[in-house]
Formats: sequence, C-alpha cells, structure tokens
Amino acid sequence: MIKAYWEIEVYDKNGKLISKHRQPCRSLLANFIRILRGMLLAKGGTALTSYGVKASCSVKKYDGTEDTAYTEWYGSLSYGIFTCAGSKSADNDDSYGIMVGSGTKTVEIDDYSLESKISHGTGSGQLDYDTHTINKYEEAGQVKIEIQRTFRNVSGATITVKEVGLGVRNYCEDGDGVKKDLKFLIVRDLLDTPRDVLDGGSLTVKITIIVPTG
Amino acid sequence: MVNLKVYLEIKVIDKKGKVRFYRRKNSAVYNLGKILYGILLAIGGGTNTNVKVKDYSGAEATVYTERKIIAGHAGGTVMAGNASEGDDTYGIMVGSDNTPVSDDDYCLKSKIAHGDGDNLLHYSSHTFEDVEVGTSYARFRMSRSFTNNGSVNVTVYEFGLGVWNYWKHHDAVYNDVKFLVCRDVESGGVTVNPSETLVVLYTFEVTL
Repeated sequence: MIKAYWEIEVYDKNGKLISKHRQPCRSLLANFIRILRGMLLAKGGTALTSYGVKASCSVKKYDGTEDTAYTEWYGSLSYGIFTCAGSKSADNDDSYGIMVGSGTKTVEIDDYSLESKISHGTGSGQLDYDTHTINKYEEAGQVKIEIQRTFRNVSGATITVKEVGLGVRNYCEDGDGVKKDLKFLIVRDLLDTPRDVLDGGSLTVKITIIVPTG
Repeated sequence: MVNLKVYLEIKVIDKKGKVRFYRRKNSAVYNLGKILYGILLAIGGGTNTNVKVKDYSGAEATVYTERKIIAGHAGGTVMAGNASEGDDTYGIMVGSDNTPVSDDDYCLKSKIAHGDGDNLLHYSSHTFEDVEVGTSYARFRMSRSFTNNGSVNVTVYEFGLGVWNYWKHHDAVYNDVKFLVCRDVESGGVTVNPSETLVVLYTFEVTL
C-alpha cells in the first residue's frame, strides 16, 4: 500500500514554531490516474528521425476543461524540452507545485483545482510562495518522497489556510516554440484543522509519499 | 494513507473461450517510488532531471524525467509500457519462477519468452481501457494476452510490468533503460494448456 501524509508547520514572525500538524494525504485525484495511464500508454523506441506527439492523454485543467497532455514527444527542430508532470515550480510561482487555499468544499475524486487558491503576493489575502525542496530517501522496503514549500505572510493581516494541493506541469518546446504548457492538479486535501498564519509569520507545507518496494 | 492501489488480475481462457481460472490480488511495486520522485522533481521547462533505478540486470541505471536538449528530434518518454505484439522486453510479462516477492526485486526471475513453440507463450499487444471516473474512484486497466501455441502445458508463476525510459537527441538514442515497476507471484502456479490463453490485467485505482 502506498502511503502519504501532509505535515503543516506554522511559525511566528520570529521564526518560532507555533504549531505542527500531521494528517493523512487521502486524495490523489482522477488526474493522477489519467497521467499515469498516459505515461504507460507510450510505446518508446520511436525512430531516430521521427518527431511529434507519440503518446498523450486527456487531463482536466484548473478551469475544469479537458486538454491533452503529452507523454511521449520529440521536437522537430534544433532543440527539445520535455517534461511529463513536473512539480518543482520556482519562487513566487503559484501556478503549480504545492499550493494552498481557503476553500472548504469536500474533496471529490474529479476535483481539478483548489476551491479558492491563495495567490502569491505580499498584498491583502496573499502569501509569498517560496521555492520547493524535493528529496528522496531510500529505506529498507520503501522509498520516501518529500516535497516541501514555505509560504510567508507579509500581507498585514492573519491568513487562514484550509486546503492544500499539488499541481504539475506538462511542458514541451522545440525550435518552433512552445508546443504544450499545461498545468493540472493531482492531489487535493482539506486540512483537518484550518491553520492561521499570522502577519509576519510563515507556513511550511510538506507532502511525504511512501512507496513500498515489494 | 494515500488512496492509490494497484491490482493484478489473472484469467485463463480455454480453447472454447470460457474463463476457467480467475484470481485477483494486490500487486507489489518496485521502482515506482523512484520514478514518481523523478517525475515530480522536474521543473517543467528547461532542466535535466534524472533518478537512478535498478534495471533488469540489477545495475543502477539513470532514467530521465525531464530533458532540455540542443539537438534535432530531441525528446522522449518516461515510463512507456505499451509494448507491441511479440515484444517481451517490457509491458506486461510473465515468468516461470515461484520465488516469493522481495523488497529488492528488479526483474522476473525466469521470464517466459515470446514465441509459438513449446514452453513459450505468444505475447499479444496491450489493451488500455479508458479511465473510468465514478463518484468515489478513478481507475484504468491495462492488459495483455499470452497464448500457448505450443504442444505442452506452460505453468506461469510470476507476473510483472516493465517500462521503458527512452530518450533521443542528435538523431541518436540518448537513454534506453527498461525497468520493472511491478512483480507478483502466484504461488500455486497457473497452468496454460495448449491452445489456451492467459490474460493478465493490471488496474491502477485511486479511491476516496
């Protein structure tokens, strides 16, 4: 059985840990199954001078509409960039990776977005999205994946976080330009207890996925 | 607890088309954690991201989950599983060894090769069912058939899913690694008589 859990730490403006909370991650979404199917659907071994989309799948974007993610792709000209479902978004990028929100809607298997994402920023109602730290630990009988991101509150008021999610990016580019840049949600959970992040404080969210071997 | 499960189903269809054996069990997974890490580690737009997995020989091999390549026809695929008919090197595979699964499995211990002679099985292409989304689940199933066209019984004990990490650039192969993500053993064995077909199905499912 694959296991996963969230760890939520809240710090005050002096960097002192105020609260630490751990809860199960319960909700890999239908999009996870869609992209997994898409990856396995690929054949590999494409002829050396062949290019274009060789395998793909349909996923639901953040707006709920369907789009095609590429899972086997080769560029036509001069160079190629291809990522299937990367999560390591950069500092200040709130469009994928770990995201937080203030929504309370019950999780459904076909959720495609946070109900009410808290945007990156330093203004009212916003949190400053940090970079990600992603690590892997191989232990006896299991592989542990940790993805962590910190959110700083410099908005001037308390912000309450109620939902967390993980978005990924499917991206292809070659000499003709960007061929695909698609982001979609694969995990969404409600926090068991909403977390207040005081002005000047921060929130660290970590998802740990444990995959057994054997 | 996360809500992902992987199931193995085994069916034997006799020469009259009747299912005479059926078994369903949870599947054991191996390199799946490592490749999932590599997939999520990617940025999505301009780095080279790789992880190590164990290939079929047990050697540590580098597999890529994101590539930025200055070359024509550059690109790839992360974990292809859709092997064609007759290709027994990846996708769903079967074997004749009954060694129980262990934490460090990286291959079928004794793969039954593709073929139409004695002690061989004819590997079909794969079937991928559409993703099915219900009120509390989402799943898909992939399957492959193995037909005994020989004249003697073939007994299958082990079942596996291999995938192919394949990238090319400069019109040449850059990375070519196949590795196992599932291995399961049916301790009693499953006998496939001549003219019978074994159908092996893997289901990947998330539930709320």
